[in-house]
Amino acid sequence: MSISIHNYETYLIDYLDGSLDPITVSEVLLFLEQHPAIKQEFLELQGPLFAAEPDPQPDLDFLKKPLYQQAQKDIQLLLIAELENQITEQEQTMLQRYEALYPQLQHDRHLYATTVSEPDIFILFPDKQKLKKAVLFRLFRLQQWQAAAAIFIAVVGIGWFMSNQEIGNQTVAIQTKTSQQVQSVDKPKTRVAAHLPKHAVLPESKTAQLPSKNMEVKQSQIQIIDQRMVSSVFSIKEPATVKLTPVVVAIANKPKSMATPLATDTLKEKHRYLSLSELMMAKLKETTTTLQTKATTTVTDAAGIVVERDEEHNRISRLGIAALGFEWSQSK
Amino acid sequence: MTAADYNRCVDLYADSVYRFVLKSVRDVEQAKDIVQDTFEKVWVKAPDLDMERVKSYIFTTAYHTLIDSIRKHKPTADIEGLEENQPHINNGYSDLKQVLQLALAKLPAIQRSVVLLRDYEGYSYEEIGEITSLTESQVKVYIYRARLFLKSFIGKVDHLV
Repeated sequence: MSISIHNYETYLIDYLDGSLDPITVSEVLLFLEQHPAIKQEFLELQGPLFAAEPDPQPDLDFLKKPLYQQAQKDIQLLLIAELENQITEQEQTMLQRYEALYPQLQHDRHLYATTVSEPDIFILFPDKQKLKKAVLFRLFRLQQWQAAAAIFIAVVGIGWFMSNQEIGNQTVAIQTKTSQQVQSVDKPKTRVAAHLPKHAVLPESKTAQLPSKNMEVKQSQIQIIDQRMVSSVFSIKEPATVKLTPVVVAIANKPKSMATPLATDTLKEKHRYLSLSELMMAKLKETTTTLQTKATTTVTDAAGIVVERDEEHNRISRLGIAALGFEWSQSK
Repeated sequence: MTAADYNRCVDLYADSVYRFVLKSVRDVEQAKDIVQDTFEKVWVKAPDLDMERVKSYIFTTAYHTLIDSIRKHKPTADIEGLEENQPHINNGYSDLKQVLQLALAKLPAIQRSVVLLRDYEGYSYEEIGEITSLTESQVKVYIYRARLFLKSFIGKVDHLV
Protein backbone atom coordinates (compact mmCIF):
# COMPACT_ATOMS: atom_id res chain seq x y z
CA MET A 1 0.00 0.00 0.00
CA SER A 2 1.35 3.38 -0.96
CA ILE A 3 0.74 6.74 0.60
CA SER A 4 -2.19 8.78 -0.82
CA ILE A 5 -4.47 11.61 0.20
CA HIS A 6 -6.81 8.96 1.66
CA ASN A 7 -4.41 7.33 4.01
CA TYR A 8 -1.61 9.84 4.58
CA GLU A 9 -2.71 10.53 8.20
CA THR A 10 -1.71 7.02 9.24
CA TYR A 11 1.70 7.43 7.64
CA LEU A 12 2.24 10.83 9.19
CA ILE A 13 1.40 9.53 12.66
CA ASP A 14 3.76 6.61 12.22
CA TYR A 15 6.36 9.06 10.96
CA LEU A 16 5.95 11.18 14.04
CA ASP A 17 6.19 8.07 16.18
CA GLY A 18 9.38 7.13 14.35
CA SER A 19 8.04 3.69 13.53
CA LEU A 20 8.50 3.91 9.77
CA ASP A 21 11.32 2.26 7.91
CA PRO A 22 13.66 4.54 5.99
CA ILE A 23 12.08 3.80 2.62
CA THR A 24 8.61 4.66 3.85
CA VAL A 25 9.99 7.81 5.51
CA SER A 26 11.35 8.97 2.16
CA GLU A 27 7.98 8.27 0.57
CA VAL A 28 6.24 10.35 3.27
CA LEU A 29 8.63 13.27 2.76
CA LEU A 30 8.10 13.06 -1.01
CA PHE A 31 4.38 13.01 -0.51
CA LEU A 32 4.54 16.12 1.64
CA GLU A 33 6.56 17.93 -0.97
CA GLN A 34 3.98 17.03 -3.58
CA HIS A 35 1.11 18.26 -1.38
CA PRO A 36 2.02 21.64 0.11
CA ALA A 37 -1.34 22.07 1.84
CA ILE A 38 -0.89 18.79 3.65
CA LYS A 39 2.71 19.71 4.49
CA GLN A 40 1.51 22.98 6.03
CA GLU A 41 -1.08 21.08 8.02
CA PHE A 42 1.62 18.64 9.09
CA LEU A 43 3.99 21.39 10.19
CA GLU A 44 1.25 22.97 12.29
CA LEU A 45 0.60 19.63 13.83
CA GLN A 46 4.30 19.11 14.37
CA GLY A 47 4.88 22.59 15.96
CA PRO A 48 3.67 22.14 19.51
CA LEU A 49 5.05 18.65 19.64
CA PHE A 50 8.48 19.33 18.30
CA ALA A 51 9.14 22.93 19.28
CA ALA A 52 12.60 22.99 20.84
CA GLU A 53 12.31 23.44 24.56
CA PRO A 54 14.96 25.68 26.18
CA ASP A 55 17.73 23.72 27.85
CA PRO A 56 17.18 23.53 31.52
CA GLN A 57 19.34 26.14 33.36
CA PRO A 58 19.56 25.00 36.96
CA ASP A 59 20.55 27.66 39.51
CA LEU A 60 24.00 26.54 40.56
CA ASP A 61 24.98 29.72 42.37
CA PHE A 62 24.51 27.94 45.66
CA LEU A 63 27.62 25.99 44.79
CA LYS A 64 29.74 29.14 44.71
CA LYS A 65 31.62 30.36 47.74
CA PRO A 66 31.27 33.92 48.99
CA LEU A 67 33.77 36.44 47.72
CA TYR A 68 36.02 38.23 50.21
CA GLN A 69 33.76 41.27 50.28
CA GLN A 70 30.81 39.07 51.20
CA ALA A 71 32.72 37.19 53.89
CA GLN A 72 34.41 40.33 55.15
CA LYS A 73 31.97 41.05 57.95
CA ASP A 74 32.72 37.74 59.63
CA ILE A 75 36.42 38.12 58.96
CA GLN A 76 36.53 41.61 60.47
CA LEU A 77 34.96 40.32 63.64
CA LEU A 78 37.51 37.55 63.87
CA LEU A 79 40.44 39.83 63.11
CA ILE A 80 39.40 42.32 65.77
CA ALA A 81 38.88 39.51 68.26
CA GLU A 82 42.36 38.27 67.41
CA LEU A 83 43.87 41.73 67.84
CA GLU A 84 42.12 42.14 71.18
CA ASN A 85 43.25 38.70 72.40
CA GLN A 86 39.61 37.76 72.72
CA ILE A 87 39.54 35.04 70.09
CA THR A 88 38.44 31.52 71.03
CA GLU A 89 40.08 28.35 69.71
CA GLN A 90 37.11 27.67 67.48
CA GLU A 91 37.26 31.18 66.06
CA GLN A 92 40.99 30.84 65.57
CA THR A 93 40.44 27.71 63.50
CA MET A 94 37.80 29.50 61.49
CA LEU A 95 40.16 32.39 60.91
CA GLN A 96 42.89 30.04 59.71
CA ARG A 97 40.42 28.56 57.23
CA TYR A 98 39.48 32.02 56.00
CA GLU A 99 43.17 32.82 55.76
CA ALA A 100 43.67 29.92 53.39
CA LEU A 101 40.66 30.90 51.30
CA TYR A 102 41.25 34.63 51.20
CA PRO A 103 44.87 35.76 51.03
CA GLN A 104 43.59 39.37 51.11
CA LEU A 105 42.94 38.82 54.79
CA GLN A 106 46.62 39.40 55.58
CA HIS A 107 46.39 42.98 54.41
CA ASP A 108 43.46 43.65 56.72
CA ARG A 109 45.27 41.97 59.58
CA HIS A 110 48.21 44.30 59.03
CA LEU A 111 45.91 47.33 58.95
CA TYR A 112 44.29 46.31 62.21
CA ALA A 113 47.70 45.96 63.82
CA THR A 114 48.36 49.59 62.95
CA THR A 115 45.25 50.76 64.79
CA VAL A 116 46.86 50.06 68.15
CA SER A 117 48.03 53.33 69.66
CA GLU A 118 51.21 53.52 71.63
CA PRO A 119 51.76 56.17 74.26
CA ASP A 120 54.32 58.82 73.42
CA ILE A 121 56.68 58.61 76.38
CA PHE A 122 58.05 62.03 75.57
CA ILE A 123 54.77 63.65 76.48
CA LEU A 124 55.12 64.28 80.19
CA PHE A 125 52.94 66.20 82.56
CA PRO A 126 54.79 69.49 82.97
CA ASP A 127 53.62 70.54 86.44
CA LYS A 128 54.04 67.30 88.30
CA GLN A 129 55.77 68.90 91.28
CA LYS A 130 52.76 71.17 91.81
CA LEU A 131 50.55 68.15 92.25
CA LYS A 132 52.58 66.79 95.10
CA LYS A 133 51.81 67.32 98.75
CA ALA A 134 54.22 67.95 101.60
CA VAL A 135 55.49 64.84 103.31
CA LEU A 136 57.13 64.87 106.71
CA PHE A 137 58.99 61.62 106.42
CA ARG A 138 59.55 60.29 103.01
CA LEU A 139 60.71 56.74 102.70
CA PHE A 140 61.91 55.45 99.38
CA ARG A 141 61.54 51.83 98.60
CA LEU A 142 64.55 51.36 96.46
CA GLN A 143 65.06 48.08 94.76
CA GLN A 144 67.82 46.35 92.88
CA TRP A 145 69.40 48.70 90.33
CA GLN A 146 67.81 51.68 92.00
CA ALA A 147 69.50 50.56 95.19
CA ALA A 148 72.80 50.29 93.35
CA ALA A 149 72.37 53.81 92.02
CA ALA A 150 71.34 55.11 95.42
CA ILE A 151 74.38 53.52 97.07
CA PHE A 152 76.59 55.10 94.46
CA ILE A 153 75.09 58.52 94.94
CA ALA A 154 75.17 58.11 98.71
CA VAL A 155 78.88 57.26 98.61
CA VAL A 156 79.63 60.29 96.47
CA GLY A 157 77.40 62.41 98.68
CA ILE A 158 79.17 61.32 101.86
CA GLY A 159 82.53 62.06 100.32
CA TRP A 160 81.33 65.41 99.10
CA PHE A 161 79.85 66.24 102.47
CA MET A 162 83.00 65.29 104.30
CA SER A 163 85.07 67.33 101.93
CA ASN A 164 83.09 70.39 102.90
CA GLN A 165 83.38 70.01 106.63
CA GLU A 166 85.14 72.50 108.80
CA ILE A 167 88.50 70.92 109.12
CA GLY A 168 89.99 73.30 111.63
CA ASN A 169 93.69 73.18 111.92
CA GLN A 170 94.08 69.90 110.20
CA THR A 171 96.47 69.57 107.35
CA VAL A 172 94.71 68.61 104.18
CA ALA A 173 96.42 66.91 101.32
CA ILE A 174 94.75 67.24 97.98
CA GLN A 175 95.94 65.59 94.89
CA THR A 176 94.83 66.54 91.47
CA LYS A 177 94.81 63.99 88.75
CA THR A 178 96.63 66.30 86.39
CA SER A 179 99.46 67.50 88.52
CA GLN A 180 99.63 64.66 91.00
CA GLN A 181 101.23 67.19 93.29
CA VAL A 182 100.51 67.15 96.93
CA GLN A 183 99.81 70.50 98.44
CA SER A 184 100.18 70.61 102.17
CA VAL A 185 98.93 73.68 103.82
CA ASP A 186 98.32 74.64 107.40
CA LYS A 187 94.94 76.16 107.10
CA PRO A 188 93.29 77.43 110.26
CA LYS A 189 89.46 77.75 110.01
CA THR A 190 89.53 77.50 106.25
CA ARG A 191 86.71 75.75 104.43
CA VAL A 192 88.05 73.43 101.77
CA ALA A 193 86.14 72.47 98.68
CA ALA A 194 87.68 69.16 97.89
CA HIS A 195 85.76 68.78 94.67
CA LEU A 196 87.61 71.82 93.35
CA PRO A 197 91.10 70.45 93.37
CA LYS A 198 92.68 73.43 91.70
CA HIS A 199 91.19 75.69 94.33
CA ALA A 200 92.19 73.61 97.25
CA VAL A 201 93.22 76.57 99.29
CA LEU A 202 90.90 79.46 99.02
CA PRO A 203 91.60 82.91 100.33
CA GLU A 204 89.38 84.12 103.13
CA SER A 205 87.77 86.69 100.85
CA LYS A 206 86.41 83.98 98.55
CA THR A 207 84.96 81.70 101.14
CA ALA A 208 81.71 83.66 101.15
CA GLN A 209 81.08 82.63 97.56
CA LEU A 210 81.44 78.96 98.28
CA PRO A 211 77.87 77.87 99.00
CA SER A 212 76.46 79.02 95.66
CA LYS A 213 79.54 77.90 93.81
CA ASN A 214 79.38 74.60 95.61
CA MET A 215 75.81 74.17 94.47
CA GLU A 216 76.74 74.83 90.87
CA VAL A 217 79.59 72.39 91.01
CA LYS A 218 77.43 69.88 92.78
CA GLN A 219 74.78 70.21 90.09
CA SER A 220 77.33 69.67 87.37
CA GLN A 221 78.78 66.72 89.26
CA ILE A 222 75.36 65.15 89.60
CA GLN A 223 74.81 65.63 85.90
CA ILE A 224 78.10 63.96 85.11
CA ILE A 225 77.29 61.11 87.46
CA ASP A 226 73.87 60.76 85.85
CA GLN A 227 75.43 60.59 82.42
CA ARG A 228 77.98 58.07 83.61
CA MET A 229 75.30 55.92 85.10
CA VAL A 230 73.18 56.13 81.98
CA SER A 231 76.09 55.07 79.82
CA SER A 232 76.84 52.36 82.35
CA VAL A 233 73.37 50.95 81.91
CA PHE A 234 73.87 51.10 78.16
CA SER A 235 77.15 49.28 78.47
CA ILE A 236 75.52 46.24 80.03
CA LYS A 237 74.95 43.91 77.16
CA GLU A 238 72.13 41.99 78.77
CA PRO A 239 69.07 41.44 76.58
CA ALA A 240 66.88 42.82 79.32
CA THR A 241 68.58 46.19 79.24
CA VAL A 242 68.15 46.58 75.50
CA LYS A 243 64.45 47.07 76.01
CA LEU A 244 65.20 49.65 78.66
CA THR A 245 66.80 52.00 76.16
CA PRO A 246 63.80 54.35 75.81
CA VAL A 247 63.48 54.42 79.58
CA VAL A 248 67.12 55.33 80.00
CA VAL A 249 66.78 58.04 77.39
CA ALA A 250 63.78 59.39 79.28
CA ILE A 251 65.80 59.32 82.47
CA ALA A 252 68.69 61.12 80.82
CA ASN A 253 66.32 63.86 79.67
CA LYS A 254 64.87 64.35 83.09
CA PRO A 255 66.56 66.52 85.71
CA LYS A 256 67.45 64.76 88.96
CA SER A 257 66.32 61.68 87.23
CA MET A 258 68.08 59.10 89.32
CA ALA A 259 66.36 60.25 92.47
CA THR A 260 62.88 60.46 90.96
CA PRO A 261 61.04 57.36 89.86
CA LEU A 262 59.51 57.98 86.45
CA ALA A 263 56.02 56.98 85.50
CA THR A 264 56.57 55.98 81.94
CA ASP A 265 54.75 53.24 80.20
CA THR A 266 57.21 52.11 77.68
CA LEU A 267 57.15 48.44 77.08
CA LYS A 268 54.23 46.65 75.63
CA GLU A 269 53.78 43.11 76.73
CA LYS A 270 50.69 41.97 74.91
CA HIS A 271 48.26 44.59 76.07
CA ARG A 272 49.82 45.25 79.42
CA TYR A 273 51.87 48.39 79.76
CA LEU A 274 54.17 48.50 82.71
CA SER A 275 55.13 51.50 84.71
CA LEU A 276 58.84 52.15 85.01
CA SER A 277 59.23 50.59 88.42
CA GLU A 278 57.23 47.53 87.39
CA LEU A 279 59.22 47.32 84.20
CA MET A 280 62.52 47.52 86.00
CA MET A 281 61.43 44.90 88.49
CA ALA A 282 60.12 42.57 85.84
CA LYS A 283 63.23 42.82 83.75
CA LEU A 284 65.64 42.62 86.61
CA LYS A 285 63.90 39.56 87.98
CA GLU A 286 64.65 37.86 84.70
CA THR A 287 68.35 38.27 85.10
CA THR A 288 68.32 38.15 88.91
CA THR A 289 71.57 38.52 90.71
CA THR A 290 73.81 38.39 87.68
CA LEU A 291 72.52 41.61 86.28
CA GLN A 292 72.29 43.19 89.69
CA THR A 293 75.92 42.46 90.46
CA LYS A 294 76.93 43.46 86.99
CA ALA A 295 75.05 46.74 87.23
CA THR A 296 76.60 47.64 90.55
CA THR A 297 80.08 46.69 89.41
CA THR A 298 79.68 48.43 86.09
CA VAL A 299 78.44 51.64 87.64
CA THR A 300 81.26 51.64 90.19
CA ASP A 301 83.85 50.77 87.57
CA ALA A 302 82.55 53.32 85.12
CA ALA A 303 82.85 56.10 87.62
CA GLY A 304 86.13 54.73 88.96
CA ILE A 305 85.12 55.01 92.57
CA VAL A 306 87.64 54.16 95.23
CA VAL A 307 86.69 54.49 98.87
CA GLU A 308 89.09 53.75 101.72
CA ARG A 309 88.10 53.79 105.33
CA ASP A 310 90.11 54.67 108.35
CA GLU A 311 88.86 52.05 110.77
CA GLU A 312 90.80 53.47 113.66
CA HIS A 313 89.00 56.78 113.50
CA ASN A 314 85.89 55.29 111.93
CA ARG A 315 85.86 57.63 108.96
CA ILE A 316 86.54 57.73 105.27
CA SER A 317 90.22 58.31 104.71
CA ARG A 318 90.32 58.40 100.93
CA LEU A 319 87.77 58.96 98.21
CA GLY A 320 88.56 58.91 94.52
CA ILE A 321 86.22 59.34 91.56
CA ALA A 322 88.21 58.88 88.41
CA ALA A 323 85.34 59.99 86.22
CA LEU A 324 85.49 63.44 87.79
CA GLY A 325 89.25 63.57 88.14
CA PHE A 326 88.64 63.82 91.84
CA GLU A 327 90.94 62.55 94.52
CA TRP A 328 90.61 63.32 98.19
CA SER A 329 92.46 61.98 101.15
CA GLN A 330 92.67 62.93 104.75
CA SER A 331 96.05 62.94 106.35
CA LYS A 332 96.36 61.25 109.68
CA MET B 1 47.07 55.92 101.32
CA THR B 2 49.61 58.23 102.90
CA ALA B 3 50.85 61.53 101.52
CA ALA B 4 54.02 59.75 100.46
CA ASP B 5 51.95 57.16 98.61
CA TYR B 6 49.96 59.94 97.00
CA ASN B 7 53.14 61.64 95.78
CA ARG B 8 54.33 58.31 94.47
CA CYS B 9 51.08 58.05 92.53
CA VAL B 10 51.79 61.44 91.01
CA ASP B 11 55.16 60.17 89.87
CA LEU B 12 53.74 56.93 88.59
CA TYR B 13 50.53 57.98 86.92
CA ALA B 14 50.47 61.73 86.23
CA ASP B 15 52.21 61.34 82.88
CA SER B 16 50.05 58.49 81.64
CA VAL B 17 46.85 60.23 82.77
CA TYR B 18 48.04 63.39 81.06
CA ARG B 19 48.74 61.53 77.81
CA PHE B 20 45.33 59.90 77.94
CA VAL B 21 43.55 63.19 78.62
CA LEU B 22 45.59 65.13 76.10
CA LYS B 23 44.79 62.68 73.30
CA SER B 24 41.15 62.95 74.23
CA VAL B 25 40.72 66.72 74.49
CA ARG B 26 43.59 67.80 72.19
CA ASP B 27 44.09 70.96 74.19
CA VAL B 28 47.18 71.34 76.36
CA GLU B 29 45.79 73.77 78.91
CA GLN B 30 42.53 71.93 79.22
CA ALA B 31 44.40 68.66 79.66
CA LYS B 32 46.60 70.15 82.38
CA ASP B 33 43.53 71.46 84.22
CA ILE B 34 41.85 68.08 84.02
CA VAL B 35 44.90 66.29 85.39
CA GLN B 36 45.19 68.82 88.20
CA ASP B 37 41.49 68.48 89.08
CA THR B 38 41.82 64.73 88.95
CA PHE B 39 44.67 64.60 91.42
CA GLU B 40 42.96 67.11 93.69
CA LYS B 41 39.97 64.77 93.83
CA VAL B 42 42.27 61.84 94.47
CA TRP B 43 43.96 63.75 97.28
CA VAL B 44 40.62 64.41 98.95
CA LYS B 45 39.87 60.69 98.86
CA ALA B 46 43.45 59.65 99.63
CA PRO B 47 42.86 58.40 103.20
CA ASP B 48 40.22 55.96 101.93
CA LEU B 49 42.21 54.64 98.97
CA ASP B 50 44.59 51.74 98.83
CA MET B 51 47.53 51.53 96.50
CA GLU B 52 46.35 48.39 94.75
CA ARG B 53 43.30 49.98 93.22
CA VAL B 54 44.42 53.56 93.11
CA LYS B 55 45.44 53.53 89.45
CA SER B 56 41.98 52.47 88.41
CA TYR B 57 40.49 55.12 90.67
CA ILE B 58 42.73 57.82 89.19
CA PHE B 59 41.73 56.90 85.64
CA THR B 60 38.06 56.71 86.59
CA THR B 61 38.28 60.15 88.13
CA ALA B 62 40.22 61.47 85.17
CA TYR B 63 37.67 60.07 82.74
CA HIS B 64 34.70 61.65 84.51
CA THR B 65 36.54 64.93 84.95
CA LEU B 66 37.36 64.75 81.26
CA ILE B 67 33.72 64.21 80.30
CA ASP B 68 32.63 67.13 82.48
CA SER B 69 35.29 69.31 80.95
CA ILE B 70 34.37 68.35 77.39
CA ARG B 71 30.79 69.32 78.10
CA LYS B 72 31.94 72.72 79.29
CA HIS B 73 34.60 73.42 76.68
CA LYS B 74 35.09 73.06 73.01
CA PRO B 75 38.52 72.07 71.71
CA THR B 76 40.50 75.20 70.98
CA ALA B 77 44.01 74.05 70.23
CA ASP B 78 44.87 71.35 67.81
CA ILE B 79 47.10 68.59 69.02
CA GLU B 80 49.12 68.83 65.83
CA GLY B 81 50.41 72.17 67.07
CA LEU B 82 51.52 70.50 70.26
CA GLU B 83 53.17 67.62 68.50
CA GLU B 84 55.29 69.96 66.46
CA ASN B 85 56.92 70.99 69.72
CA GLN B 86 57.56 67.47 70.84
CA PRO B 87 60.86 65.70 70.14
CA HIS B 88 60.52 63.94 66.82
CA ILE B 89 61.71 60.38 66.58
CA ASN B 90 62.36 59.25 63.07
CA ASN B 91 61.75 55.56 63.44
CA GLY B 92 60.14 55.00 60.07
CA TYR B 93 56.65 54.84 61.50
CA SER B 94 56.13 58.53 62.13
CA ASP B 95 53.87 58.89 59.08
CA LEU B 96 51.76 56.00 60.14
CA LYS B 97 51.57 57.39 63.65
CA GLN B 98 50.40 60.71 62.30
CA VAL B 99 47.71 58.99 60.27
CA LEU B 100 46.63 57.10 63.35
CA GLN B 101 46.50 60.34 65.33
CA LEU B 102 44.31 61.86 62.65
CA ALA B 103 42.05 58.86 62.68
CA LEU B 104 41.85 58.88 66.48
CA ALA B 105 40.89 62.54 66.41
CA LYS B 106 37.97 61.71 64.17
CA LEU B 107 36.55 59.08 66.50
CA PRO B 108 33.61 59.92 68.75
CA ALA B 109 34.85 60.84 72.23
CA ILE B 110 33.59 57.68 73.91
CA GLN B 111 35.18 55.39 71.32
CA ARG B 112 38.44 57.28 71.53
CA SER B 113 38.48 56.99 75.31
CA VAL B 114 37.91 53.25 75.40
CA VAL B 115 40.52 52.63 72.71
CA LEU B 116 43.09 54.79 74.51
CA LEU B 117 42.42 53.08 77.82
CA ARG B 118 42.81 49.76 76.07
CA ASP B 119 45.95 50.61 74.11
CA TYR B 120 47.77 52.96 76.45
CA GLU B 121 47.01 51.27 79.75
CA GLY B 122 46.14 47.74 78.67
CA TYR B 123 42.93 47.70 80.68
CA SER B 124 40.54 44.79 80.25
CA TYR B 125 37.04 45.34 78.92
CA GLU B 126 35.71 44.92 82.42
CA GLU B 127 38.09 47.52 83.86
CA ILE B 128 37.30 49.96 81.06
CA GLY B 129 33.64 49.38 81.83
CA GLU B 130 34.23 50.31 85.46
CA ILE B 131 36.16 53.43 84.52
CA THR B 132 33.68 54.66 81.93
CA SER B 133 30.50 53.40 83.60
CA LEU B 134 29.70 51.24 80.59
CA THR B 135 28.80 47.58 80.44
CA GLU B 136 31.39 45.14 79.16
CA SER B 137 29.29 44.56 76.05
CA GLN B 138 29.11 48.26 75.32
CA VAL B 139 32.87 48.51 75.68
CA LYS B 140 33.29 45.63 73.21
CA VAL B 141 30.97 47.28 70.71
CA TYR B 142 32.72 50.64 71.00
CA ILE B 143 36.13 49.06 70.58
CA TYR B 144 34.89 47.04 67.60
CA ARG B 145 33.47 50.14 65.90
CA ALA B 146 36.56 52.16 66.69
CA ARG B 147 38.92 49.51 65.29
CA LEU B 148 36.80 49.17 62.20
CA PHE B 149 36.87 52.91 61.62
CA LEU B 150 40.60 53.26 62.32
CA LYS B 151 41.42 50.37 60.01
CA SER B 152 39.21 51.78 57.30
CA PHE B 153 40.74 55.26 57.68
CA ILE B 154 44.31 53.99 57.64
CA GLY B 155 43.45 51.70 54.74
CA LYS B 156 42.21 54.60 52.65
CA VAL B 157 45.32 56.65 53.34
CA ASP B 158 47.36 53.52 52.61
CA HIS B 159 45.77 53.27 49.20
CA LEU B 160 46.44 56.94 48.50
CA VAL B 161 50.08 56.50 49.43
